[in-house]
Amino acid sequence: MHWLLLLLLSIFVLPDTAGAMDAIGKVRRERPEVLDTSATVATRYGTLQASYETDFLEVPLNGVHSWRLSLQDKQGQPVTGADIVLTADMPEHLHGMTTTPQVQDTQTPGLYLVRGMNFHMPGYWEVTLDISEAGSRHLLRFNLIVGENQRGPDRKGADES
Amino acid sequence: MKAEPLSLLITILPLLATLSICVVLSNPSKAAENNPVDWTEREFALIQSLSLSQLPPQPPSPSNRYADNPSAASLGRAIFNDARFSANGEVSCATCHRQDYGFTDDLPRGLGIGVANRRTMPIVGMAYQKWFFWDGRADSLWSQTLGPLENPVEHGIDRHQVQQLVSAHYAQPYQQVFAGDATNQPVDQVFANTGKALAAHVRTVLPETTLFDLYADALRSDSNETSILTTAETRGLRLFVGKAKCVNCHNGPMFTNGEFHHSGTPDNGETDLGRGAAFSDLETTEFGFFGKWSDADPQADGDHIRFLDRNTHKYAGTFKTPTLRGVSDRPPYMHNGAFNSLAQVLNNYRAVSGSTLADEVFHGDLTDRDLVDLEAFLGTLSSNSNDFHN
Repeated sequence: MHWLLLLLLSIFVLPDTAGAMDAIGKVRRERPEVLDTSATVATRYGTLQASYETDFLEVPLNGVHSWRLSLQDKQGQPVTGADIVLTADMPEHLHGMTTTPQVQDTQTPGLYLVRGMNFHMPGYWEVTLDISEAGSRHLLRFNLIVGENQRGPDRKGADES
Repeated sequence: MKAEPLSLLITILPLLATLSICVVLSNPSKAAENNPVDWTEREFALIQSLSLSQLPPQPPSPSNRYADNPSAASLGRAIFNDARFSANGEVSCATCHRQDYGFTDDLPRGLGIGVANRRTMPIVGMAYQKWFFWDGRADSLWSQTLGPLENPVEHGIDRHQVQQLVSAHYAQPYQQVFAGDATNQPVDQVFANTGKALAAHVRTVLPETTLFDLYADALRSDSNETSILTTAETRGLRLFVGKAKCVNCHNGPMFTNGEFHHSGTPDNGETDLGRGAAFSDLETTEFGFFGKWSDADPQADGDHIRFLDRNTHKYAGTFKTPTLRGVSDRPPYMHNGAFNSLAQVLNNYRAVSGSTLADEVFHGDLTDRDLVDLEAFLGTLSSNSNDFHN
């Protein structure tokens, strides 16, 4: 019956209370203690690998920017013509971006341009790629910690949060 | 009932003793918990990200080719302070954006020709913003400056009068900056150019170094001069970047993400949709970023507008995060001036925390002391000087 309750909630309650959230159907998750934030991720058996680059040393906080997204298959060959839907969320906050980024093809095989990225809060973000190509569909996810990259002289001590 | 003197003394003495212990324990210099210097890596990084030393040079304004032109700024500054640009000859931009009051005023709602429907926004650091007005209905600073001129309750004039005033009083500097005759150009062009000059001036209004910035710098240099902030202020800073979640929206060196959020501010029965009602204005204005008078490259510039999430429902009742720099010097607060003190603001954030209004109004379970410490920290964001760099 839980699904029915959730459905009713999402229809009658959440739209009036969610505000600047897009909380419907989402479950809050805290930041894991250990988080793989690498800019290259692959599906479990390596059939598809994705990586991103930006024009910045660190992904900017509060700056609308673009990602250069590369897709490769298991043999390291570029994956062209993929249909990619990108979403970014903050699992701790139940919301995503204030923009709707779009993925565009480029002249370079396997290279896609993502325009309109904007991380407007510091912290734990997940960027999910829903990739459809040649009859297959893959989900890939990048984890990011945004706005917490200032390093002081010889800082020590673990993050308590 | 009359108490015996001795029994009264017996009753009071332990109370006094307890009280004095409490006083000793709450003395900032004796506080043992939360050693102020012992920041976690995350806290340290967030503190540095808020510091003025992290403020980059002003980003370009592609829709205004005169944005960084000193002559344009000089012309804009003169018009900014010129009350002739109003229906009664008494209202200039500086009437509400008072330099001696953090570039805002001390009223719940701006007072020009009449009473505005929202609080006057502080204009320090506008060069770093993407959206303008409390609801972000302007997508460029120059476009924003035109709104109050034609608003009947602010300056109460129109673009034709602006053209006449510029022609009569600023023909020579206008000619010098815009290489054209204000009298003969199309009225909308003169109006847009006036906005571009005003924007060039407003871009020069920048924040000053504060106690907090000195603290952040000292922390980074490991100079151990961390006594710059008191224990209460340091505790407040720790809450700001941690439990109280203020930094979620008040982030970056300007203490704002420039985005739109629910604050849980009471509306006293006057519904204001804020951002939720602004998207149509963005699309219909003739002075927009992608409009005829913009200098932007419509293919390359303006991704923040092109890819904007325009979900009116999601943003109904949200308002732009204001900067917190100088905040303690310029009450009242919020988009409708609902609160006269920061204590009231913080109390309200605690009151609405955990309500069903919106997930983002959750600010942790704040104690009375937390609120006092947060207020103490906010006091460190003022330069104690009205001598702004402009």
